[in-house]
Amino acid sequence: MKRYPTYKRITAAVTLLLAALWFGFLLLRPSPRGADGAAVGCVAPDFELNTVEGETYRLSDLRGRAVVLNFFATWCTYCRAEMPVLQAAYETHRDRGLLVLAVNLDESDLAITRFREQLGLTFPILVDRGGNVSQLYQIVPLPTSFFLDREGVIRAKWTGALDEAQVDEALKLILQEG
Amino acid sequence: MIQLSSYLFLGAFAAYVAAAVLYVSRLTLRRSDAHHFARADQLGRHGFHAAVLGVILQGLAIGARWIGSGQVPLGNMFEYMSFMGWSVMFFFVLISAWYKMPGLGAFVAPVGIAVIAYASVFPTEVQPLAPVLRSIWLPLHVAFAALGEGAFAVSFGAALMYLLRVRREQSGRWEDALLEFFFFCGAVLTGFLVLALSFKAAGYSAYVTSLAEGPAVLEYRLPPFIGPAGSQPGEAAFLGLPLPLVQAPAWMRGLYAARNLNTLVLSTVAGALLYALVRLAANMPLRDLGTRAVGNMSPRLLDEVSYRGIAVGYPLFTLGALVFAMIWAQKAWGRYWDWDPKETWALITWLFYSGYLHMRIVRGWEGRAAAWVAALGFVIVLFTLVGVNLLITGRHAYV
Amino acid sequence: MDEQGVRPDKDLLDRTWDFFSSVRVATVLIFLVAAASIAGTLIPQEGQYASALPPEQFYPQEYGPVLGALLLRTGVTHLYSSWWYQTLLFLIAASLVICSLERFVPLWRAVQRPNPAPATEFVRGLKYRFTAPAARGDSPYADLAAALRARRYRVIEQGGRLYADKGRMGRWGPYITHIGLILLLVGAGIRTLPGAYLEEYIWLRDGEVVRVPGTDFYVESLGFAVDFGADGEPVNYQTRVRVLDAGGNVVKVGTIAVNEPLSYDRVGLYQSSYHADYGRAEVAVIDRAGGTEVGRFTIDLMQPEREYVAGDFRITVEAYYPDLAIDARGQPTSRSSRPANPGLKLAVVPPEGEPYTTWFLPLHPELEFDETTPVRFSTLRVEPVFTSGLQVKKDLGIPVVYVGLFVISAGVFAAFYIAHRRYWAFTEDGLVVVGGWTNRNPRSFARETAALARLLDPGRCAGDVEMEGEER
Repeated sequence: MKRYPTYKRITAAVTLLLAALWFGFLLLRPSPRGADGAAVGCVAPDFELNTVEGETYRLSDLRGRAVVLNFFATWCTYCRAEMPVLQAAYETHRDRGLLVLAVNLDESDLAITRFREQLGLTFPILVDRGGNVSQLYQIVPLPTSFFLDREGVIRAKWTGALDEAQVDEALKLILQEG
Repeated sequence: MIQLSSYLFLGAFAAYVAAAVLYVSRLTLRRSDAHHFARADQLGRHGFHAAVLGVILQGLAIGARWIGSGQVPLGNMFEYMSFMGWSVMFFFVLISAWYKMPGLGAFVAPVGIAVIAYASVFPTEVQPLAPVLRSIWLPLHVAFAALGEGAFAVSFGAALMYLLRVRREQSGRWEDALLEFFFFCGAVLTGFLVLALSFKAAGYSAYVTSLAEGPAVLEYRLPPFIGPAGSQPGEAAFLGLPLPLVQAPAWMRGLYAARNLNTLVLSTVAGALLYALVRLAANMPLRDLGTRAVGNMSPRLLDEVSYRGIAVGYPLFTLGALVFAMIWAQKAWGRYWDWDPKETWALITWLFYSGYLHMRIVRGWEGRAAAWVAALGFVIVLFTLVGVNLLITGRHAYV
Repeated sequence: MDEQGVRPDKDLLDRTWDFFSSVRVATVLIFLVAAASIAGTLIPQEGQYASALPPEQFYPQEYGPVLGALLLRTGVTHLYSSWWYQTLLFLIAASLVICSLERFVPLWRAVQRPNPAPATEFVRGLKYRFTAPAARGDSPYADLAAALRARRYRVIEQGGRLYADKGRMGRWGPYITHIGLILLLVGAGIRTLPGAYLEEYIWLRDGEVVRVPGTDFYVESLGFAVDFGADGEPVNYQTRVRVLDAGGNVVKVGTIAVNEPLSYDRVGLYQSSYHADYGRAEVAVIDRAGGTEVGRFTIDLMQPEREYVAGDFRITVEAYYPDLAIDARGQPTSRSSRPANPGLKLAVVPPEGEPYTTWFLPLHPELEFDETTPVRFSTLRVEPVFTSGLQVKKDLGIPVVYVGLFVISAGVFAAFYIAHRRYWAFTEDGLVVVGGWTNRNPRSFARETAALARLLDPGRCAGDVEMEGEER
């Protein structure tokens, strides 16, 4: 019985090689469910939103600053409760490059303006019209806060109201220079 | 026009029932006495005429409904399943004439009738198509798939006949048990159809409180022997019994779990009764009755018919259930495939029949094994149409 | 070494070939993929279940800690992208290629280079045969050839023999289908390449500009429209849009409707859904004593102003709850940002008398908390505001997939609806002996052969042609 013709042997060899590569790829690839939403350790997904006054903020333009992204709504009591803590942190560390960006979940200008007045907030409040950014970040419970370092990498993610100690802990991670 | 369509539909249904009765009588007559062959053949001819009449009438019914509603009559479960029933009878007429095999009628006509009866369980009013269904792809996708499935149904009948014909008494205990189970399932399905249609005709409905997924009221179309969590005996009644008698077990989740379980249990009971009756009347297991029915039919011919059904249906099904479906999904939803349960079951059905076709060229697998696959294939078709809609939800759940 | 008697053992490469060229193996693989796919429909897959929980929490909660963990570990929760399912697909692809190669070459020879003059025993042994008188004149096959050509056969007369066939394409059908399937798999595989796939969703209100995620262009809504049918259900809905590039220039204008997507730069925008909210409400201020209207104002429930003037009344919005509810402490709060049940706390300054505060629910003006106020409110009209839901999709593999689907369709039709039919003929004692062969649909071929036989020898009866056994 003759050995199989060459073309068959070559095809078989190529098949085995591809199978080996395939398994290698499968074993070494990162989990296929990797970058859904925003996970700690990933670069925060970029977006561009406006404040009520019309100022535009683009996340990727803020490299070099430490950013706290706080997703909230005015009708959410826990959000209301943690705002003073965020405001205090903003005032204290502002000159070290900290920026607090509150992202409001698609409410009326009136509600946001009142909210700001009542709580005396001085950091920018962005309005997420249509909820697209909240969807991008896969926000479910409110409030949710992300702590981004100066390269835009998410260092910590927090759901639920923050107190002073927790904020200080998280800020330590992102305020380091360089 | 819609009313005309309903009358034509009823006429077709009656014709199909007549055909089935004539075909079964033909078989019974043939087996009982060779003297009656001529009479039996005459019955078979009449049965064929009845089937042809039914196909024409239902074709007209579909046309009338199309004209009357101004939209292609393939948008909801009733319209789709009745078209599929038509497809079964259409291919039956075609194939049994081509192969001069009236015996096929006793096995396939009941399938067609069952499919149409099942269609009638659903609301039959014309419903305006949801926006995403208003596309040329709807009739293309659905019609080709239904045609393919109709041909598969004929193949199912022939495969079953083949298995009954080549059954050996000594070997294949599992096979015999499985064949008997097939007949039992047929009885359960018939039981379900009889119950559902009877209660629908009587206009029965019962309302029961449910706490399964938040407080709600669940409507039952069959007497609610099994109620959802939160229901109390006395909320409904049937034949003087306060219902529901029991609640669905706690591990069954979902708002409709109790209702589905109730339907399943009632159908099984009705089916078991029906099965017992037939078995007692025949005084033998149904598989033996089936083997007697197929008598001395040529196994090779039965095998060829079974193969032909699939050979005819496979391209239609591939085109309808996969190719057109994928193109339409791309146009409507922007993705041709994302493992939606209904899509995936269409693929499973297609793979199953592809496996059958390949089995035919593997030595040792081309006979009984392939026939089993052909028989099971249609069960999978039914599950894709019925089971997925009822048990699993997804993007396809239009009714 | 190929000497007789010395058979070299099959090495790994040969055995690999044997494995993938086996139809038995292919059949098993097909059923395996089918069975594996079933599991993925019974267990809701990641991304398909209706819960906000991440998979690591959802499955243990639904199926219990043990089963849930097992499902997660084995990858059943994302079955169709799991390593073992993808491996099955890889095996099927290899089988498709190698099975086809294995059979292609011999088939090519048999179909395209047939032997017109096989041994006469072969022709006599064929299932469908008949004899006919030889034709007079140059060729004994003249009548036969003419009859066959009339039936669209390709006829070859060579070396005193005749060979005719038609429907060669039917033999290639399965291989065309296989090629189509491979193209389909390749097209699907293209999705995994970076930059080749995108799947996002955006919500857009009239006049809004949103950047399309994953791209560098924007889409602006110029207006959403929905048609309702007689029963109040939507018949069709669409959004008129403008596409803007990164610099803000308009690069495309068009309409996205259900089943009619808009594409730009290989990205498709599909009208997927919409939701309706309450927008502008026209409110009448009614004097409680006289019942007459003393003023009117229009409030946008999506974007209320701080102050309104209605007749001689000045009304200030002190608090606004788009979706009014009472929380656990009895305080008013809102359940969401969308005005499903708007509630306003208003400070009213009447032309005479003391200013006071009251509550107003535009959707339920009859619900009053204080019926001693001098005026009450009545909602005359509320306009809906729509938000359009667009699905964003990009898939560079689609052209390949379409080609694959077309090839598959052609392949299955060729395989099952075109029969390859062949006749061989030789002459003997003034008679032409004809034998026929087909690869499918024997009955039809039997009829054609019988018709041919009757045509060439009208005097005969059906006898000489083998027909299928009738059911008896």
